[in-house]
Amino acid sequence: MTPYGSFTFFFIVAILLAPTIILGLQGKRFQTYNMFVTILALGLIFSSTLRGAIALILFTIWQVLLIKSYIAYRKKANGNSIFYLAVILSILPLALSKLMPYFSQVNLIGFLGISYLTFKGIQLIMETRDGLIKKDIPLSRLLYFILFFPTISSGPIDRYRRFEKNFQAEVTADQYKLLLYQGINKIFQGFLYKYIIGYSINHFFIAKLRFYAHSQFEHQLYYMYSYSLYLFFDFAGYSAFAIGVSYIMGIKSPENFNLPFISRNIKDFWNRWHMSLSFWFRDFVYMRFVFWIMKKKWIKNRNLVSNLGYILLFLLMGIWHGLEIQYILYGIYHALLMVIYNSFERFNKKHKWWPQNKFTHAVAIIITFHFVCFGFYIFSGQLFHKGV
Amino acid sequence: MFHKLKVFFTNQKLNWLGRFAYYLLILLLLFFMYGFNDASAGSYIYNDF
Repeated sequence: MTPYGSFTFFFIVAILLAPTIILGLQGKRFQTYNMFVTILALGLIFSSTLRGAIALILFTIWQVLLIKSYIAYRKKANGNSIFYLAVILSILPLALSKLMPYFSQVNLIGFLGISYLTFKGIQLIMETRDGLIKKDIPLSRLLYFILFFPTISSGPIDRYRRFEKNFQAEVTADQYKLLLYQGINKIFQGFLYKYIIGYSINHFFIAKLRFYAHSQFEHQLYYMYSYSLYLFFDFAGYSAFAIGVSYIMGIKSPENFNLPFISRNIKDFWNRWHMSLSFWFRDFVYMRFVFWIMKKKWIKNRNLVSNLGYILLFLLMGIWHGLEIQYILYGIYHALLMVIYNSFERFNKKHKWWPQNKFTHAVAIIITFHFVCFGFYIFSGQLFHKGV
Repeated sequence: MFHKLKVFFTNQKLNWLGRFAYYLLILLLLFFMYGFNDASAGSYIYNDF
């Protein structure tokens, strides 16, 4: 069963979470019960695919062994090669699942949510390396964090230390009332985005584009904007559901979107779109790369290092989506936009060519919107073959 | 004038009424679009990644 994919799913989740709500409203602890709910919900989500369920179990054992072993090792030593090995081994199942479809008809390794679970695993290893996670994590809590069902399929990607704070917090009845209210509000927002707006754009506009467009160019243009909006409402709708259910379970999963279509430049856009993923890449790819290069003093020009960091970040982000040409080009496109904007920002700081006022702000939003939509047009694959 | 507007929009009863209308509208739209059938709004794009 696809998470948030049908009314039946919501109905079952509502029944499962009824005791959580009752306990929460009485100011009692409910996280142990929530762990039990997570097991049931995972069973429900993966019940239709035995192969997926087996892959998830093996993947989880693999990640837990890696994380636990690395935490134990880190208490005694801090060798580079062991750290790199742990990261590579953590990424390995995801890399194999992305490559497998090119070599085999059946993807034995992949399952729903493998990417997002991998991001959590790598994060734990990297934060242990940085000394941010020092103590051993109890197995039940580690499993609960990795397999937390509301965010299992597509995030948002939570951080362990933030998650743990929520997990251990004593929530009073009044505090829970607010969490419940915020959660319900988010779930309604999800219905509005995914089931009403997203569905309408896809069903009544994208699917009938051939009736609205009079030329091939018009068709592609309409597709570009409508697909961009559809992608937003689809993913923001999913995120609202995931965050809403998390809140009801007492976990404040991070936001994924913050009005991305009013971004005033591409840097601003990536601070508003799929935020949990872009912040993950910023912290664990870009920052590490920049810090590493500066430490080694291989390149002294800070601006060049920053641009190389952006290129690496967006190339990896593109490849993560898939090895198809549209995703790689999408990564290159955003890397280029970021490098160009970086240069423009430096130029403007010196020459004050683009003044800061309400008019230029509005113009910047409009320009960014069109560039972003063109990026989604590349992403959709419509350029190369029949798109979604 | 601005103060009066501010008081009007921060009115708790009005806020409650607005929320009620917002939730009701979403429920009604869902009902008109899907009726008593289970939803078929399509799978999520990002589930593929």
